[in-house]
Amino acid sequence: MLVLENLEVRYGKIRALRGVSLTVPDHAVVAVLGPNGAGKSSMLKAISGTVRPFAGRILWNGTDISRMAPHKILRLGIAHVPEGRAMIAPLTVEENLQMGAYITPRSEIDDMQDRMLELFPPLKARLSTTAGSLSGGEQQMLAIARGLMSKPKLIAIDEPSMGLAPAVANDVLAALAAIVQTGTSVLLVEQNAALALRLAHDVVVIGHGEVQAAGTSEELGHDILAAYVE
Amino acid sequence: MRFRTIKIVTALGLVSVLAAACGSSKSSSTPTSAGSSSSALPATIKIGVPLDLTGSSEITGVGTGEWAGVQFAVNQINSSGFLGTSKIDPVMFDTQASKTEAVQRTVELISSDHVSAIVGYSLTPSFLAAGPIAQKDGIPVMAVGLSGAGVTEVGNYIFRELLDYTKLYAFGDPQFVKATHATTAAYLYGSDTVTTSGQYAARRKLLESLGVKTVAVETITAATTDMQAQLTAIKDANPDLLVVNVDTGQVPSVLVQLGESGITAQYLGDTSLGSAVVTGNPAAIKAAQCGLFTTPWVPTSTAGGNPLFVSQWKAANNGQTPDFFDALGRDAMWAMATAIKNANSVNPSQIRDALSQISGFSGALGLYGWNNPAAPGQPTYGGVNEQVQNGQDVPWTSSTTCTK
Amino acid sequence: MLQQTVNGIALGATYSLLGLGVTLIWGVLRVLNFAYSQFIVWGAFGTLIAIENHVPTVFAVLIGMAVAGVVAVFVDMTVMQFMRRRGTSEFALVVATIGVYYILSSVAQDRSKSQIETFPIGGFPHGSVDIGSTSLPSLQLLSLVISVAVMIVLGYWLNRTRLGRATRTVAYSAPTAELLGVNSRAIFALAVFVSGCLAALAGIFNAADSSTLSYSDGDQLLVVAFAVIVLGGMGSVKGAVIGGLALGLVQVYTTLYVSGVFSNAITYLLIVGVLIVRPNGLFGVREEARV
Ligand SMILES: Nc1ncnc2c1ncn2[C@@H]1O[C@H](COP(=O)(O)OP(=O)(O)OP(=O)(O)O)[C@@H](O)[C@H]1O
Ligand SMILES: [Mg+2]
Repeated sequence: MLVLENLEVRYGKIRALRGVSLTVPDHAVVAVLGPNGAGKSSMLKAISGTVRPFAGRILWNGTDISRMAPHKILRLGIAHVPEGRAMIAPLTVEENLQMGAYITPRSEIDDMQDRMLELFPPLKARLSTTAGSLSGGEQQMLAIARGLMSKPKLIAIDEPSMGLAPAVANDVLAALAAIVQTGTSVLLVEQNAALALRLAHDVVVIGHGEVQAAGTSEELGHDILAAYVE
Repeated sequence: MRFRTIKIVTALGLVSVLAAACGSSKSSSTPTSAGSSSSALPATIKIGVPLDLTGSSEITGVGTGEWAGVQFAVNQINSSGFLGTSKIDPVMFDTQASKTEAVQRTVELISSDHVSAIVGYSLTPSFLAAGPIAQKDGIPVMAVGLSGAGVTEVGNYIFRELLDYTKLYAFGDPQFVKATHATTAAYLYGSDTVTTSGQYAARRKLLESLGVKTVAVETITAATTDMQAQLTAIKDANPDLLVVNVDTGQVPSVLVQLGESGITAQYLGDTSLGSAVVTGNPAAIKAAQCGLFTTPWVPTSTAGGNPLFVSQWKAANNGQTPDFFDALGRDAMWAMATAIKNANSVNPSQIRDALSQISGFSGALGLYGWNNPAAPGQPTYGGVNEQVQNGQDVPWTSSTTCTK
Repeated sequence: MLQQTVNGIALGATYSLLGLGVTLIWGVLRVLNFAYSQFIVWGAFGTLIAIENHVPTVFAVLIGMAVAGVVAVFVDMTVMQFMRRRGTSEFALVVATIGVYYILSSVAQDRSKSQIETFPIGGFPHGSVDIGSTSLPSLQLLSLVISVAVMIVLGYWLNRTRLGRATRTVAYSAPTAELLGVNSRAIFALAVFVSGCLAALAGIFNAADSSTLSYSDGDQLLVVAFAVIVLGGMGSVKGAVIGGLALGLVQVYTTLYVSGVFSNAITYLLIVGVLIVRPNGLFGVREEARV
């Protein structure tokens, strides 16, 4: 279980998050919605250790991870698929997947790779292509697959649908649904509310660095969501 | 002539031991009046001694050695009564390897200390800046440790203790060529410094004038660490002689790589073969086996007053062997004292004249003088020929044999 | 002619070794490290002191490599880390490496009293080996063999091992590598250590080749190293190897057919020529794809 308590993130004078609290239970999918500049990415970066919170706590199964280095947080089971996919462009698709499995026991790597290729079939033919020359959709698939290669208990994904054609976005969503089936929790940041709500039961809406609304999709209702997001 | 000088010295009533060490002079125009004591000389004779003791890593030990040699000479001169009751008072300045310092101190020595003469200067650039002042004011200078050219060209008041190094080759190389019956030579030299490239040019001209054909010329620079390409080219030319003039620091490198190259040519080197950089390097000195060179001085030289100098130095310095700079400082000051004695005057122009007439001076660097009209101001000694044999420098003559 | 080609390859191999170390730091840390010149010197001094204390030569070489590696890591973890964390510009970092160079250099100068020291080569191979109609000094042959071995090991390590992949990932983007579980600071340290070891190796061979060692020996070698990686392409392992060999051959042929006087000038002309045609060097990779 991931718990954020009054999380505050600052970049110099800019207050990107101003005291955000939320909970991601085990085996859950939580969608984080909000307009540009709301602080969504900053929240994920704080969770993965990429930025250091100014104040507040991040508890992962009771342990405060708010001051840990990213590589340690990953080892505790939280993977972060960042905005913009963060391809390691000069490495091949297979090497990217191998890097995703950097902390995975050697004996499980091949098995994991097979499962990822099943989940994202387009990657199969491109294993020896450099990641930099993949299409946007393929890159997004690779980014998620790479994040899963470490066998995380929670995966935080930042705007997976960004820049993708609706059909491709649907494929990615379907793959995410399959991941959820395996018991992995998902913290999904999206601007495409409709897409997010097809997967997530719990929704948190962020604006100006604060939680504007939280609840199940039924509780919040489509109108409210639309008002906050669009 | 030489024998006559020594006889005269003996006749002067000096202790013979001292005589051999301290040198003396015979001059034809200035009447020698040493025997009748130095009535014309003041009680103290001020002599300026500007030397570079500090300032640059290259002169570490140079200026300090020269100063030790000068002091050694002053003690001998003053305690032996060489100048009668007159004493030499050296006015010492550390010119810190700086041209401006050398200029200022020279002006000071002449205008405030009123020295009669100068025995000093360790580095050619410092001298070239300061020397013209002494020349203009008519103060005789015995330059102690300058190996570059263009020193005596400053004027007729300038004398040098250390010869221009190209003169060493003129002394030794013809003897080496004759003994080895060499007809071809290859040259390896450092092309990026004037010193080594000048030495190469002079030596090549000299050897060609002796009928030694040039079959290969290869160069290195300060940045060269690997010389295989040059050595292969030299090997292919198969010369009788390999003439090497490179920076001292690069000599071990040349020697070691030469040792692996299979080149059998007779090595003609320079004074660096006798320097600590080479003699202290087992691999280099081994590769230098049978290498020949000419040097102004070695502690084991038997020329002139050197054996006596070495033994007296050891007695005065806890058994320590003098180094080259000690020898230079010692001879330079003794030469000046000899000129003053012969002039029987502290008048600078008379000292100058006496300096230019010194001959048969029995010093650490041999039996020599400054009286060669063809090379005014320059010492007349030729040098000592040496050969590297089994890790040591030994005196070389045409009958010396050496096996690799 | 054949002999001179062999000479050129042997010379080039040592140049490649020099280039590899610099290309590794450049690729991972993106900084031209002038202190590298002193890692070369300190490594060689480490070996010298070990030999003077009767350590067998092979171990003395390993000690020298470890000394340079540790010094390189120490410098990186203190000065460089401090500056990086303060977000200093690349230019300021380079200036800092020059400062570090002077500090290390003066320590070495003090230890050697500004003198050229004798580097004992009794324990190194001597004599020469005949290969067909040509012959090569054993020491050069050894340095050739070691250079080639280092290239192969380094190439294998970077491309085929988990840690090597992690190094390439850190070189590309340290934050991304961190997200994948890589301790980027440890990888930095590892790359710097290996680079220091390579510097030492080059310095030791250079010292053994001349049987002398001076605190300033690294300066000329650093110039060579920079030339190699500029020619081969910054941050490229293949480029460092090919660049080194090309440089060695060109220098030998110039010495042979033109004159040793022009060997450096022609070398740099060649580099300028290559850069005009290929601004990233022979095997240059674009900014985002180094190491
Ligand atoms: N590295 C940074 N330095 C300074 N300000 C930053 C930095 N990163 C983000 N910000 C600022 O923090 C605020 C929140 O940014 P953040 O990227 O978290 O928003 P977001 O919700 O992910 O937006 P988007 O939907 O556009 O991705 C914005 O005002 C942004 O300009
Ligand atoms: Mg964002």
